[in-house]
Amino acid sequence: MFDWARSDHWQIDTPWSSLGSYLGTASAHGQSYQILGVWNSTFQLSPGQWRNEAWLLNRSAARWDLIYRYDYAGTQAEQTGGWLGSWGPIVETFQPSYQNTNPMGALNTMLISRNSSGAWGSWQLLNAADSYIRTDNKGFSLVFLDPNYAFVVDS
Amino acid sequence: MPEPPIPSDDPSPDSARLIDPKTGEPLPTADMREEFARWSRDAPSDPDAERAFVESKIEMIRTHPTLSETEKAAAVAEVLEKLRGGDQRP
Repeated sequence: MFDWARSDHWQIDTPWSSLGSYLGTASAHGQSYQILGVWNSTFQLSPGQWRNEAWLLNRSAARWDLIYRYDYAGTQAEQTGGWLGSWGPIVETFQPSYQNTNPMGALNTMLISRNSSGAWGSWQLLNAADSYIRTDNKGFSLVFLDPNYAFVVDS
Repeated sequence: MPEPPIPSDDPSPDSARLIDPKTGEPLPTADMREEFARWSRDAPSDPDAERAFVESKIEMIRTHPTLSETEKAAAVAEVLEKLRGGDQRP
């Protein structure tokens, strides 16, 4: 896990072998995929004070597990402007080309926000205003795309 | 799939509460931060992978399909400014 809000950005490295309680399966477009339920957020605790959090859905225990939290000071302008914080599910590449990778992607990507009064809205699947597609030519092929909230690629 | 939770209004650093948006009631949760922190301490670091992760962010900005050149320059400067604070692992 990488947290832009702090100077020691690297925070959580979890071995895959430790995630057994969090893994499940889901079907999409006729195929079964191994899935991990992730919930991450940045929200205002009080004026000038913000919280970053990450939770995983523990399927064995039927509960949400808090795995990371960082509270910090920040202005509204810092928190809502600029490029940092515009992250979403991505298959990010770190080498010129890939081949023979397992299918990977994201399913049911949802977004929620709250208004200036502090009232949360309702969860919505990502829409066209929230996402864009990159074509980087790194060897991945699209298995399926449900605009704009689900996709799987392989190579 | 059930609707995801929303944060509670509890600002306590030790609070581990999430709210069911349909009912407004707390959902079953557990605070596993110590366990994940312990796993992280035991995990071998990979400086090359960490460097590649950061460099990828800059490349993503430089090749962003909709940002203007001015916006890209500002975003890269923002990333570099953030990284200047240090990259030490806990």
